Amino acid sequence: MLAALAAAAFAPRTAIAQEGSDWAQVAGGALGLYSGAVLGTLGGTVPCSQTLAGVDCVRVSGALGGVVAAIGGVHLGGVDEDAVASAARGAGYGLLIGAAAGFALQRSVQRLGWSEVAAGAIIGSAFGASARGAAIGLAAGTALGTVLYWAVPSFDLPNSIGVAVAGMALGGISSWVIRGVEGHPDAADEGPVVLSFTLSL
Amino acid sequence: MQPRPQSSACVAEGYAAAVDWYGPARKGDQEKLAEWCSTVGPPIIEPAPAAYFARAQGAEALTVVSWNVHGGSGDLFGLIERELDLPCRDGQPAVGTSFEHFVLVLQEVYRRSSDVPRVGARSTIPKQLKEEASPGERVDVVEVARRCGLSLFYVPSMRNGDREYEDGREDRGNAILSTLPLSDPIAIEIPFEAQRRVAAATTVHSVAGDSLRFVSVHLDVASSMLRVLRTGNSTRQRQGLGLLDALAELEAARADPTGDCGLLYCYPECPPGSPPRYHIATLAAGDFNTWSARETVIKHYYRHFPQSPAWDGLPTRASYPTDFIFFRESAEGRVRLVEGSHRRLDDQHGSDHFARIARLEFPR
Repeated sequence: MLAALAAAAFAPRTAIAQEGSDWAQVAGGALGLYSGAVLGTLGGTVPCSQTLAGVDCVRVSGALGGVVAAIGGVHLGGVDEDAVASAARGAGYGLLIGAAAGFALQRSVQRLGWSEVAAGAIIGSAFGASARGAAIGLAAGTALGTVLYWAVPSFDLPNSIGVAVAGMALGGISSWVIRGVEGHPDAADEGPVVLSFTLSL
Repeated sequence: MQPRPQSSACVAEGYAAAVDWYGPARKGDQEKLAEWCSTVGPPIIEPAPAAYFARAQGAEALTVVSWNVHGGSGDLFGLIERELDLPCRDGQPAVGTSFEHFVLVLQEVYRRSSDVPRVGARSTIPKQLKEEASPGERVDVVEVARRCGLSLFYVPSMRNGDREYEDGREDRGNAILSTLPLSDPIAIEIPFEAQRRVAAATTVHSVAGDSLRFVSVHLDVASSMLRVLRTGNSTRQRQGLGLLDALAELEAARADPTGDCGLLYCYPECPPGSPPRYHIATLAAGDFNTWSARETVIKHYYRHFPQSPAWDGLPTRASYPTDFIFFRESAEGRVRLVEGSHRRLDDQHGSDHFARIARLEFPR
């Protein structure tokens, strides 16, 4: 799987055709599964923590996210190799940015360890693989969470953060489905989408 | 959860034989807990309060306060004097006219002693709690109990920094103090997430002989982000449900000496359609470190403690509802929560948490 993704990410752009292939389907499915599962797990944490099911609910959210995005990724790979390569590059950039953010966090907060760097890398790569959708979802979720925070007295800060993260997950997973259906790259010709944001917990 | 094997390194090192230990069955938890345990001193049990409390008024009711003291920040003497009418800062307790027996269910209390082992700096020793200037004298929980004449059960969870003092080192954990006698002390190590946490449980006996189990609970704030991803953010749910498992095992172990389970008592296995009937009333209270009063762990506790007071909508640490009191009656119903008695105290008494208070009565 890693070899397929690496090949997709580092293949010369001129050699990539705007059509699907078997390897692109495998790579797209694997990347979708990974990105969707991580985003689904993250997106489920806060809303699920308000239910009796708790962790079971998070697991369902992660599994659903992974399956839906994997199906989208397989479809995408079947119609557009370039889009899968773009997603793989985005995952690579996300991995580096996420790891750097985790490192910065680890250096600034005493009780945090190296596992935060790993977590940053995992989240960053999942985000990067579906960057445009996740970014749009995060922006929409943040806006909605902020409105609810000010408008509904019982809607507290953790809930508004939860809405923002759930929005990111929904946007990211949806982008796999939309790209799979429409069959075009997500910002393939525009380079990676780099966002700067602060999440206060 | 399961009763902790007596061969455990943590229990073997001179720990009070009178304390029963419960802990998680998972080997990974046990190893982590043992590492942390090797840095703290033994639990302390002082079962009898000062003799003059036996003559005090107020046999029909009992006040309970649950409070995260935040190390030396919280002014325990101040709270005991102003909220419970027992001035004892000077070691000369004076029972006031409105005095009523009480139980303090405390978290993050510290103990300084040479019994806390000297170990080198290691990752299992957390930093000392960052304390605000206390409005009162900085006194450890053992000294508070001694000066006020209270019974005490203290179980350390972890070290309170690695600093050496002339009179020893510090650890911190949960405690139960009372003007009434204590028995059946139990230390319950809950599943390891970020730090070692040990719930302290003991039985308090009213003047009329009624028994009531108290449990002092403190859950973790959060695990690492990687663990959140791996486990689906299970930190407080796993710890809280682990403690509920241990309490269920306790019920099973203590309730059925004559084999009448199912007739008088049934928990956790009850006949279909029959609500649980507990052999002893239990009050579990403490700092659950929750972001929201609707969190999974809180929902589970309300289910297992059906007579609990409803949350009043007030936060107890900054804007977060972290502290709760949960209660369930026994099958005999000889101890009840006084309706409307549950509230948050208005003064933090130097801690970063507000305390919660409630009254229990013994109807005849």
